[in-house]
Amino acid sequence: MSISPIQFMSLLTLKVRLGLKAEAGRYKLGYLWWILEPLLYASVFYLVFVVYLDLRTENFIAYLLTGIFPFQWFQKSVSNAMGSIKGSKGLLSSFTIHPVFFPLTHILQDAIKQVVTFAFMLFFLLFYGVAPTITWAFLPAIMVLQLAFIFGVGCFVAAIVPLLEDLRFLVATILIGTMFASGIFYNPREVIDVDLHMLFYANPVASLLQIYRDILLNNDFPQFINLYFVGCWVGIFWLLAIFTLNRLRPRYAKMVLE
Amino acid sequence: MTETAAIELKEVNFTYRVRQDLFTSWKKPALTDVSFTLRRGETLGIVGRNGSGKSTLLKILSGVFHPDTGTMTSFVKTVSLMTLSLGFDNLLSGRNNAIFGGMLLGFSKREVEQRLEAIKEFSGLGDSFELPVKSYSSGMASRLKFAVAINLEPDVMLLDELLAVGDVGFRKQAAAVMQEKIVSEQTTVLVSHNAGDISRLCDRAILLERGEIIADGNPEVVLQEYRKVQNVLL
Repeated sequence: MSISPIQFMSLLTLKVRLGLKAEAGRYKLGYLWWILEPLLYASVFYLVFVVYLDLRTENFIAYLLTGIFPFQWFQKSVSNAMGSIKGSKGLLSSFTIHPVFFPLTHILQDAIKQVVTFAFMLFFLLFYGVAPTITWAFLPAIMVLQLAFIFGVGCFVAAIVPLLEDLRFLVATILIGTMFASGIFYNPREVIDVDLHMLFYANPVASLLQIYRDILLNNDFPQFINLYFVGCWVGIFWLLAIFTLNRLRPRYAKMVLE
Repeated sequence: MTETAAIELKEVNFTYRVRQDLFTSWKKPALTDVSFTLRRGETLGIVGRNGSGKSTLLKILSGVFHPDTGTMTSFVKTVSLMTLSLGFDNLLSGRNNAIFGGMLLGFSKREVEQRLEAIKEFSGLGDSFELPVKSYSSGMASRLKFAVAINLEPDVMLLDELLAVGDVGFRKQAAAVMQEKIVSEQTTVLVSHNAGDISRLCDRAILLERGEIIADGNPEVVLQEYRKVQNVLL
């Protein structure tokens, strides 16, 4: 009765493909939204930081974009994955598939869309006069690292929300807090005391954004300390997600119906 | 009919927890010490009043629910649970839901695709097969579910009131196919309030009352018991 790993991967591929197709079909502008959404996002930040606040410092727009786009990927993926098990009542109460299937589907769908968004981000950087360097070659590897981090966090929050629906509010608040504590709008190396850098970069999202900026803007290799913190948190969230999902697996079908 | 076991339940207990708020919840037993063996090739009918535990029992048999205590042992590869609330992705077409549903039951994509035309024909959905399921009536959705299961031939079919939906024509078609399946030794568990379906299609029946089995055996005898239970309560 259990589904083999090959069958699981086959189902996941099919669901991601059909999910993207169905999502595009739901909106009049379809796939165009993959580009329009980040474009609108960037426009809002341009309006606020360049037009209103007149922060036309060197490379500020590029700095902002390399923070906003990776953060938005993290935030959207975790938010979408969060209710995925709870929202799959129909499938969970009819089939015996492993519950990790549901957050994975959402996370992979978002990741595919993100490839287009990141291509767009690189185009913006070139437009704003950032010259491509050899360190840009690290980008795919860093995106894989971020995906691994999103897998861990997304699967973990998806695993615990069916236990207590109220956790959604907590996760949403943590996501907003992370947005302000990760240096999207400011350069931590300039505004945060050196003594506090370790604490600041212990936040995996802050470290991830620093890595993106190092390879895309600073023509620098990723710093060990940033890779170390992201790697540690990837490991922690993967362990938490695996433990929680396997522990609660027999109870999910019952939990979503209760 | 062979006598080998397809699924075996031993002293299965299952309880729902009904939560009122963060600090208040109470337990509602759904199944109490349920033991029986579903034999390969048999068509087993389950009868009982609303809330007697029939649907919960099917979910235990399908492996969707795990018993709180007791054991469920399955000796088969594919078990298909079909209920009115069976999970469809409403944004996907009937065709894609059939592929996805078939794969969730453990069949390969190729196996499902090979049977797609037969599924489409049996469902009688015509061009609607290509439309999103959100545009279907409940009868149309049930026809699709039934068509997927009947054409993929899982080792065990669990039907929860699925023969009671759809128009008269579809019900006749479904009953006729069920009759064929019984002859061809398909293992089936059928939950129905319709005594006619149970006596015509099943070769064994179980009566559930408040989560306990109070009769198990010949369908006619079990149906008689069921009528007694209903009369006592009227």
